[in-house]
Amino acid sequence: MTFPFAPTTNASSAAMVTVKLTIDGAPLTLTCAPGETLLRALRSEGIWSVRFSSHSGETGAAAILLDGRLVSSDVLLAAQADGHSITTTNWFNLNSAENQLHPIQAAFVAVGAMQSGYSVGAMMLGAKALIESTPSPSEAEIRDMLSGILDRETAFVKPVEAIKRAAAMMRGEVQEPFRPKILSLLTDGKNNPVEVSADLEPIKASPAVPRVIPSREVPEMAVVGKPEIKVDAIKLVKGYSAFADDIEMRGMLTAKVLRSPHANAKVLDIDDTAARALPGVHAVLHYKNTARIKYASGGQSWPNPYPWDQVSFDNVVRHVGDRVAVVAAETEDIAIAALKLLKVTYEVLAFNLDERMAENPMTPTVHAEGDSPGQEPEHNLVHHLSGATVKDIDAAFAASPHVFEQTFRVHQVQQCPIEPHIAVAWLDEDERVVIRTSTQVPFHVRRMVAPLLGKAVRDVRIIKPRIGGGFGAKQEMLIEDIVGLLTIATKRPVRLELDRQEEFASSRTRHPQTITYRTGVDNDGKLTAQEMRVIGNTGPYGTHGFTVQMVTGLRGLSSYNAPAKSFDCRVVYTNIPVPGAYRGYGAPQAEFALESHMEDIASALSIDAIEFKRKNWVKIGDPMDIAPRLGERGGVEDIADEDLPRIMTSGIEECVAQGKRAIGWHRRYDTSWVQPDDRPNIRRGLGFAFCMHGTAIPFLDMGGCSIKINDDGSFNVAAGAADLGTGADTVLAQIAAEVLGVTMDDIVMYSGDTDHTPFDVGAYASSTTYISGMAVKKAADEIRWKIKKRAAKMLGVDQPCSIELHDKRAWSPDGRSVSLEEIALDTLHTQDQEQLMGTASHVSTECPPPFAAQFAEIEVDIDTGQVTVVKLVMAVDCGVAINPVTASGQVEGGMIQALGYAHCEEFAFDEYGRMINAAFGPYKIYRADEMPELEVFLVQTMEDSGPFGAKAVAEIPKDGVAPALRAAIKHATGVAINDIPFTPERVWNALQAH
Amino acid sequence: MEVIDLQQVGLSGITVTGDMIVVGATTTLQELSACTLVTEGLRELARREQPSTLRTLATMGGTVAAANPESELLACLLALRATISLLRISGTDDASMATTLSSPETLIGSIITSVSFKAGGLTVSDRTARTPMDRPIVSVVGHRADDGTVTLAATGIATAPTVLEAGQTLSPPGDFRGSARYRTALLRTHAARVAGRLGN
Repeated sequence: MTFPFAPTTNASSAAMVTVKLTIDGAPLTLTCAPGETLLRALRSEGIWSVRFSSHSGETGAAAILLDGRLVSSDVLLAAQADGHSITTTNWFNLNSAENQLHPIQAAFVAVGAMQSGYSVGAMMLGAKALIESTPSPSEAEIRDMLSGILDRETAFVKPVEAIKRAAAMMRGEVQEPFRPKILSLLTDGKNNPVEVSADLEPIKASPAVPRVIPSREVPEMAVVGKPEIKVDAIKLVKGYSAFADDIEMRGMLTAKVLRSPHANAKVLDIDDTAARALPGVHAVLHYKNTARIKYASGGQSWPNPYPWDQVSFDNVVRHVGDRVAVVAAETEDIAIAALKLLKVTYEVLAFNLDERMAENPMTPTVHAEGDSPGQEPEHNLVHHLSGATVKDIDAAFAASPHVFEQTFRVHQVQQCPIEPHIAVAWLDEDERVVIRTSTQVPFHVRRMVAPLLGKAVRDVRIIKPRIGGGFGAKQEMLIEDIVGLLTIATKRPVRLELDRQEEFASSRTRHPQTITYRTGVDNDGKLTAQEMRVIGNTGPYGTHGFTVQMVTGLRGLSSYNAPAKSFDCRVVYTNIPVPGAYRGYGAPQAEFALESHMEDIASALSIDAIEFKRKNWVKIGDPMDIAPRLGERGGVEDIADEDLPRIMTSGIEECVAQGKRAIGWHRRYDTSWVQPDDRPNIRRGLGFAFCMHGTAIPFLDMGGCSIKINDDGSFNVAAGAADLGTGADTVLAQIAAEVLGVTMDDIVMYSGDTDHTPFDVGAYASSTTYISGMAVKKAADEIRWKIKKRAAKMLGVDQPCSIELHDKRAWSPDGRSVSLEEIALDTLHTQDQEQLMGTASHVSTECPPPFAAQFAEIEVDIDTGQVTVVKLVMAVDCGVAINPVTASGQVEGGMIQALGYAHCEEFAFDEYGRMINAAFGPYKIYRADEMPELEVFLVQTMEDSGPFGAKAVAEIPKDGVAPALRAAIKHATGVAINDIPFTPERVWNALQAH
Repeated sequence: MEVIDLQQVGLSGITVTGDMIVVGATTTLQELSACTLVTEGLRELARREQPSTLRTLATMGGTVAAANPESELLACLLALRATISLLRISGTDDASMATTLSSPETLIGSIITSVSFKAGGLTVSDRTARTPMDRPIVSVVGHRADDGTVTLAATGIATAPTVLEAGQTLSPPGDFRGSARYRTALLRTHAARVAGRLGN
């Protein structure tokens, strides 16, 4: 058997070579190994804007210009660049007027064409090369240029727009500011349905422009609701050091992990003698020399849900890619060489990948060690979850005129952040362990890693710099224990970065599930009962297995009213790569099954699908009756009707109306459109899905914030929140600025550092804007009151509450004012000196759901089964979008991730349980030159429990694409498919059987 | 491992010699995709072969040597009846594209210097893939030369791109993207479509 995780050497041990080249116009001489890549050589020179994402060049994160050509520097040897001219992001800084951005940088900033910005430098360099050769590039040419730069965040909508604008600016054309397009309501604004005329014109605006449909209930604000530029945009377009790996430390060691080649095996022995003897090796850790401390790796609140079934290094490996040992060495080459010297003796065991087989008595046991708190190894059953609104669901079905039952299978996919997991650890001057890491949950990581390192929480500091995408993969304590243990063992800084193969097979993924729905319907088309049975595949470790499946039940039984509801879920162990948190967190699985099931019931009852769903979907005032029974902290069995949480806001009818117009829903009834005469093998289809998500976890998610005023009237806002590219820091700054009556320039954001910011649970559960945003608002309100009191004193006003803050000044009712700078100087230096501060935290008792209408247009080649996705439209009620540009970017990126889930992404395994497509390409994610058209609508509602009316927007785009695609395929061909992804052969097989 | 950089040895460029197009081995796929001397169909397949950041590095010779079994560009060269020029210690040599792909040992001890094929004609292709720019599960590339000769070649039906011959028996290898049965069905569909578009 071939060892599947043999790391590649990227520098040979041969004699060093001298490379002379020009970088951004300046000569540079490099001394490097003959086999060293240009990427590593440039980064070793401190050129951080050239970023690692894989070793094979396909992500483009490492792209630079070589003699003006866009090339991936991770597949180019440094020696090959000898005598050539290299251009990096710094070229823009060197070639722009003082205190100004280059037009390409400016366009990317203005349009919000970056989220994490991990690959924004590569995109800008590609734009430079393209515009210099083609001053007026077509969209196809722009997309072709971007085809070599993968982006998991923006769906390329705004980068394409930015490059068009940059080209226009460089041609000397004046560009209008990039602003949302404000649309009129199509409904009466009271969430009543409306017929959408086929004669309505499509919206005339670039797809990048967010379409905002305002609510009459939302007041006009100065900063909130405005397309403010991201607070991190400038540093990102300038290519400054920003990410976890953008740091250089004297004496830093490199760590490499030995991964299991077996899906299930006992480690009988590890002989590390030869590895330890290799010059340059400083530490080798494995089960024989590491404390066996049980933990659960999911980044969740204390106490972590059971089972605590992991240890840093175990004597059992439970999936291909599991940890076996780690080496810290002077160089990556030495570390890799040392791994090869480790002699591991395995006893290979049988394994199982399929959740449907997990409880079969003949299936091998994944966890037999029996020392894991909360673990039930019998039959590989980890949890048996249940919750119901009635005692006897069968009685409800027995009384139903119509009962429908269907089973769906959803598969395993990966988050694929373009920045892989990376952590750097060191001991500070007080011998505390400092870990700079790409995490979504710095505070959870600190609490969880401390006992594994034998440290008190106070002796660990976690720093979260900019994150190159996470999507839940980084809601985990995944590699921080490794670098922490190594830095304690060696007293040296240690760096560990996963390669792309490790990222696929050894980080985290989405839970596969088998979902069965049973639904009762009366003769009026109203639901009488709904039951959901799930087998959830948590792989070899529990991590998020409990909570993801609970969310599956919550989301799967909340969208539609039914007098009787029941959820039953068996969470089982298997030997697949470990599932964990992935944006949507159990909802995409549930909503695919639920919406598909509802679509098919409508067909069976000969009712229009939207009408059938509308008849049953939850509306304002309806109870969310399953929610208390499926709480994260355990269910509540008996709850009075008046105590149930209820829907307080919903803009779903406006979403449906806007979406119908944008997708051209009337064509659904035009047979000549469905079956075009000139393309006999093509069938066209339109599909719809109703989406409902949650906003944070009530009674659990908590965010903290502190704000202080500076001498010049500016404010430092310290928030525990973890911006992983979503624009969270920007949104939080906007909230603070709105409250304090200042502009974004007056807010200095700092977040995600356990030593210097208040606690926050981190970035997950669509909670940052709603929870952390409210914490910021509360903290801002507190300091605002202190400012008003001080201003009243300075202005001689009796009633501080009569003071207003706006335009950076405090105003008395008679029109006199004092600047915030004068107030700050007064408080800090003049009289009754004090530091004006506001500190607050927020926990919500509510979980107001955002709603959305998802539409899809597709073509099916009935001869081959190939599905081509033409257009996706999502209209979202996310409350008030604090920043419509970043909010629409979230929807665009989320939809394309969801499209991958529905259409092309999947884990494939060989007969040994090894993932056989652990690379981009075989694992297919959409790239710029094959994207469908996207259109996003933001329908405002005023959610009183959220900051300035906000609900959530980050996860709901993941929910509706798969069922909408299925509905569209069914519309086009009559074929209904219950498994995803809709790959050509799967569709072809269904067509053959039809 | 010894690494020899061939960038500077003068093997780059696309020239016309008589009725033949000669593509130097170090010509990049980006250059090929932009060259109006070759058919539009070939240009498009050169563009599809790699994304932008790799197309500027990948070369004609490298593509032939790598012999990716899913390469539509190689299938196109088969359909064009291309010839590979080799430089050996013993001198120069030519090999057909088909021989090179079916017997890769032909390349051992040699350097690919160029790929040549007849100019003109019409090149079309038809494919099935998971997404529009994905590597195809099965692709058929057809070329009708100016003298009317039609050649079809396919990917995804064997361990290397293959010229389609009448009466040929194929046993496609299956994988997670497409079973042998499915690939056989796709081949039939795409071959018929390509032949139809070439007027056969």
